[in-house]
Amino acid sequence: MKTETTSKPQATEAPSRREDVRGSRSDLPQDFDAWFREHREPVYRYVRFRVATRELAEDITSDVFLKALRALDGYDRRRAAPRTWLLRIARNAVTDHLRALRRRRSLQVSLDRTPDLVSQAPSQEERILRQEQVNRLLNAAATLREADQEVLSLRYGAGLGNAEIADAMGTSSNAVAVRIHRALARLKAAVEAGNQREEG
Amino acid sequence: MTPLPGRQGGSRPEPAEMEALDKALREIAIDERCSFGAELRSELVKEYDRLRSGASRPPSTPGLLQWGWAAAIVVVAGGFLSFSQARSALMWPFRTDAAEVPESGEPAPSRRDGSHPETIGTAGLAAPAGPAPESVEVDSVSASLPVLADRDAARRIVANEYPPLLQERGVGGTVGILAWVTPAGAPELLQIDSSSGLAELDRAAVRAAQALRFQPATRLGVAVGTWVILPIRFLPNATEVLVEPESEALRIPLSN
Repeated sequence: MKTETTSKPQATEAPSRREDVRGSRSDLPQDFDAWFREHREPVYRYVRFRVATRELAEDITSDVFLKALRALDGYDRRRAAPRTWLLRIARNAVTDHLRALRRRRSLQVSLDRTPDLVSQAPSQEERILRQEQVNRLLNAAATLREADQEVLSLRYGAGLGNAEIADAMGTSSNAVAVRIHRALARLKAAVEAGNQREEG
Repeated sequence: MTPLPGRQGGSRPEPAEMEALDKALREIAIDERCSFGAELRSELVKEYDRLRSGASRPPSTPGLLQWGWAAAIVVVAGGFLSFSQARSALMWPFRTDAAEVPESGEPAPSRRDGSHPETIGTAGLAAPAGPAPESVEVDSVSASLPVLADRDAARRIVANEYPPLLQERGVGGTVGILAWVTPAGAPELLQIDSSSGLAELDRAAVRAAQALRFQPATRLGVAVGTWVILPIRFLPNATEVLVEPESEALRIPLSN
């Protein structure tokens, strides 16, 4: 059967979820939707850099956006850019998570499950090698003090530049550059110490 | 990254060592699970619906009481209503919808429940009045489905994404990717609709699907976005991507 139609085509924004294909449509506030699209990955990557597993990173990232959605009415664009705001919520969520682990004395330092961090490796062999390297790096990073982990996660997890990190941390770009350099120096020392432990 | 002088953290590392560390950290590929974004968005939409329904609840008890008090004042001040009329007036805010059915007995138009069948080409064309049809063909004149902009390029893209180790070992499979093809012909909001059973192959299919380009669907001559399922086949000796419009996997939403 052919359909006849005289109606004008309507706007064709993507339905937000699979259910929408079948009918009733609900959506998110426009601004929030744009932020979600633009900043979800940096937030996830920041969180993933700091926690042991992909599952935890997904849970925390979900919490971040749910909290942001609930607090949307109180958000003041003049006080912080959306990304800064979301990353601030993410930082607090990660800190809360790590604090809870410390309270339970189960702070997870060993990162043995990192296959999701090396998916770009071209071959199986290279993937194994890279996974070992990533494990060493992240295990060493997890032994650094909180402030070092923070700045490295913002740089290498969220992929922010110095100015953006400065914005998120409420400091200057120069101060961020110095902090990153010092954090890298301490990370290098921690990696070497880890290697020596393995050899010994 | 420009090396900066370090004053803490033990011996001062050489710039080359720092650059190597910087590079190693940058190379950590933090990839989301393919469908995580879509799942989270769905969760957010549900939460937003919940928040909105909380904000638009029926009038709360104080509101009803205000109506009740107003009605009581009218009754007392007027003094000409019978008890039953007064009771009726006082109960007015609490009446059910059933009491408001017009005398003609015409039922209020029911809200469309949006439960449209999940069939091919149940198009975003104006839905006819009455129950949703079991199946609606897309009018060949007024609407068209997306087609690959360049099939050869698509084959190359899929071939390039085939994990070499799997191909060498003769491991193949088909991955169904659900994607929103935008009016510009770019696939977005990709999710795995049907897995090959191999995570590596699924990821390769998502990467390939992201790179594909389409001539978009059209409705009344205007480019529109639409959902499609792209079955991407990895065959050890050849690669193939099936996105023909007549494919039974193609779907167009009724509501957009």
